[in-house]
Amino acid sequence: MKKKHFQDILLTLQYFWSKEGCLIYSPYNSEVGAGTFNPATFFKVLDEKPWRVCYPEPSKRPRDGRYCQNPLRVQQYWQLQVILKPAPQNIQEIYLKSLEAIGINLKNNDIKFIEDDWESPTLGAWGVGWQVELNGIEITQFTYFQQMGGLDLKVIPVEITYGLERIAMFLQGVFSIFQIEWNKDFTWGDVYFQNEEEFSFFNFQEVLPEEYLKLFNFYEKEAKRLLEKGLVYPGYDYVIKCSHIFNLLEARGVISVSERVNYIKRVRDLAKLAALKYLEKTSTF
Amino acid sequence: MKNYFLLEILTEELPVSYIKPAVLFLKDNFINFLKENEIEFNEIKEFFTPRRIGIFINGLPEKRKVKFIEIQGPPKNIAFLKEGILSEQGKGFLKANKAKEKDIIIKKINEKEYIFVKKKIGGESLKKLISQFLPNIIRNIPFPKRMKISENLTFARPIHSICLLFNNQIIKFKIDNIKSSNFTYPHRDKSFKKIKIKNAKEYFDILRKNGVIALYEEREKIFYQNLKKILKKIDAQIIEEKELIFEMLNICEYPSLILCEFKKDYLSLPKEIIITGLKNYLHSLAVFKDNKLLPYFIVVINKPFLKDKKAINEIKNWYEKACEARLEDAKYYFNEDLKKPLEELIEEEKKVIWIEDLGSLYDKTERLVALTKIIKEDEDLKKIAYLSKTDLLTNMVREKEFTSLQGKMGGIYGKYFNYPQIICDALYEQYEDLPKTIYGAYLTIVDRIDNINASFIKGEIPKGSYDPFGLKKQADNIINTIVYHNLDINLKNLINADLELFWQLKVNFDIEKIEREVSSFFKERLELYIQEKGYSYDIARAITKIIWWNPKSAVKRCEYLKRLKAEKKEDYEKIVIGQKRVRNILKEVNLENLDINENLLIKEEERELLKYRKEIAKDYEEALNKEDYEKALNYLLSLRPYIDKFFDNVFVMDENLDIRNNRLKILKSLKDIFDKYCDFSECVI
Repeated sequence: MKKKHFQDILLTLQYFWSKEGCLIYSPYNSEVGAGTFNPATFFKVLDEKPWRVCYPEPSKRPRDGRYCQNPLRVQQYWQLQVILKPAPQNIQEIYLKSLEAIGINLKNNDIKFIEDDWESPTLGAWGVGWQVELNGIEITQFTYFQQMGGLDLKVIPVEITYGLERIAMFLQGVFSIFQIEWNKDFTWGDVYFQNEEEFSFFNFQEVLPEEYLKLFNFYEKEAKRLLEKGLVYPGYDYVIKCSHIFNLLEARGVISVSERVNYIKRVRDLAKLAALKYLEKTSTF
Repeated sequence: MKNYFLLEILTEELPVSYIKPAVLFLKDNFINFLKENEIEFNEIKEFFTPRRIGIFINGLPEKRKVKFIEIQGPPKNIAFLKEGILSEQGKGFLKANKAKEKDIIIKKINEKEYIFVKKKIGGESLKKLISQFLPNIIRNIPFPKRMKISENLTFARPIHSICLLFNNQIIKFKIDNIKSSNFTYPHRDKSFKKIKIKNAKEYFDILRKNGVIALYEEREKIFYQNLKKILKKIDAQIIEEKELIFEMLNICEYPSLILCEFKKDYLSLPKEIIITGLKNYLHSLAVFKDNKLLPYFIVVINKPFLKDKKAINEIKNWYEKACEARLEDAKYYFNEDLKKPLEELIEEEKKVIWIEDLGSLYDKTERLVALTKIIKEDEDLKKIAYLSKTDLLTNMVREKEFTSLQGKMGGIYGKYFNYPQIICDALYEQYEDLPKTIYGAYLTIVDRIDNINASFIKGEIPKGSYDPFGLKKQADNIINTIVYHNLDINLKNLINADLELFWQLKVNFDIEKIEREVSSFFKERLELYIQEKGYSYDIARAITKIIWWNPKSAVKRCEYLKRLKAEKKEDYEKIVIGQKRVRNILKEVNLENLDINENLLIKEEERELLKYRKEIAKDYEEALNKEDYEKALNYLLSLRPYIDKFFDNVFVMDENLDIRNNRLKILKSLKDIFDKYCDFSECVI
């Protein structure tokens, strides 16, 4: 069988979900920790209107950087995010067929749905679901959202988040993220090695604690100001920025465990406000 | 009667911990339902896999038995205005029971005539009864966390089908949008298409052919047969861990086992880390030979039809790689942690909230240091208390999959930092139910007292089956540890000292109220503990009422009291009756002081009793202090002739108030001396 390149997997999955009626969307143009932060998920699951979307999301987890020393941990990796609202009855089956589409033989591999109820304290969101394990390796987070922005959801969506690097490693038989073949000429390492190394230095050593704390406070204020004015999307942009700054400060090691809870609550309060304002506004349109 | 009944609820994968309680709930409700309706059956069994839960019953009748019963109505003279003419009450009674006038019979009860109606009950088909009873039961299956399925239904995960059969007939019912049917789904490796169950009795066979072993016992059997073969091949053993094996058997519908290997280098990691990593990351078993860990692990795969060796080998390779990634992470945490001795983490505890509003982890540590000091002043014990919570700040324990190693990691790191063995052992076993070392016991006792106090301050008080922090178990462990190690520990002092320390933290709470609540909680637990040791409830109560704060002494006292009851029944009963009497007399009395005026002792029997009481008082108390309870009880028994004479010859309620009060004081002093052993008035004779 022809080797599946990283970009083939991405394209194949996007094609697969486009046939399931998903709008093929793009990553958000701001630093996010997960595809869930993208307004195409955060806002669009709040109301009762049907919504199907699929998009990749390079996700930043500053604390996971290892200066390129660990083949399996990086501070930025690719998610493929799928949202289907309402969740179709046979969604597990559709999902498994998507794995087949990228060349994973269902009958020759051990695939298990293992309980893992996802939650995001910063987004005020939780759901029930699984991590999908392929021969012991977690490749997907599969969640039926119940709450977003602290609000109970009227129509239950399903969120499917593929870890693209994990899947690519499996399909290519390599055991290092850096060795994943992106296409026939470039590896993941060719694209990201320098990026990873530099961001590891930045995250752990170069984030300026006091200045970034000031930024957090400013972004928080700005988010509130804009949201109160009913400028929902611009306001939400600053909620995302707050969350990212908080992640950076945490990686830098300047937030104590007790302060941590407090910061998370501040971001969550903003997320709640954004969700409320979004619903207020969409219901008056 | 050869009727078969089947209920199968097919869902998306249920969390392992949800499955058994759910299925037992169904089974219990079915049994109750059958009992209430007096329906006989041969056998009821529950079955479950990650995707299905259900009940199978055989030997049910088609219909509920027909039975006639008589229902009593109002007295005849009220039911009838006059002969043949019903009153409003009479008509109402008939209407309520759907009966006609001709159904009335008259019967005499205690010489009075009442009207009765004869009523036929039963005869309904089981299908009808079940279809009425089932929807509510399914809705009420208890799950720790539920999801919204629709506006009107919540469940653990989405339901795909409900197969509900009485032999070959579908029992019709509907819950939300899901209609009962006669089909189910096979193992996913077989197909995504539904399959038909023609008759309930064929269910297990059909599923077997379709790659699903629905009965847990059967999966277990396959598992152990497989396991035995593998272990024989490499001449090794596993450590039976029920919880893990239950998990392995409930993440698959058909269990196949694969033997995998990891690099020998990882064996340099402490075995606890490897075992926990294998269990929590890969749901897999560690393998031992003569208690030494081997570089193998056993995973369960959900593959009923896969026979291709190459494919199986591929799966094995990936599990091994997954394992290596996890062990590599663990090694990273371990090496990071070894860079910093545990002492250096004590300071960091200040930044960590222990429980919201109840201070930092460091505050807790300081309380533990203070409490252990009350038990024993000792440098090692002090160090143990100081280090006890530091491992919570290590990289290893902070990682979700390794939190279960709390305590153990403290002990393991301690060894690497060359702490004395006595310290490592105490740290290692501090969360165990029954620590084996004395210092480990001291630590767990104060730690758990502190946990219990904190929960009570927070208002988290166990009630009935509500006990989210497992406080009952913690209290029971404290009591058992004290008794097992024969420890002289005064719970009351420790509880109060600990509450005092919370108070100093400026935590706002009613210290006396909490003290009362925690004390009576321990009293209750000790009472139950003593009963479980085989003592009667009254003895348990009589003793704990007096000495709940010293479990070791309480249990010993019970033993001697029980012996007294068995060997000197008459004496025992006399004491109990006497003490009940004294308590009754004193109940209404308010004595200003307890000083007995010797000049008011008119009768010889008073003087004699008092003299003897004084004579033995010191020795009696010494016997109690030395825990020579046989001797102590003998002193109490020796009082008897004096007491008898006193009651025979002295009238307590004398007309002269001074004399009367003086005599009441004598009684009170008697009660006090008996109460030092236990409250005999609680004993039942």
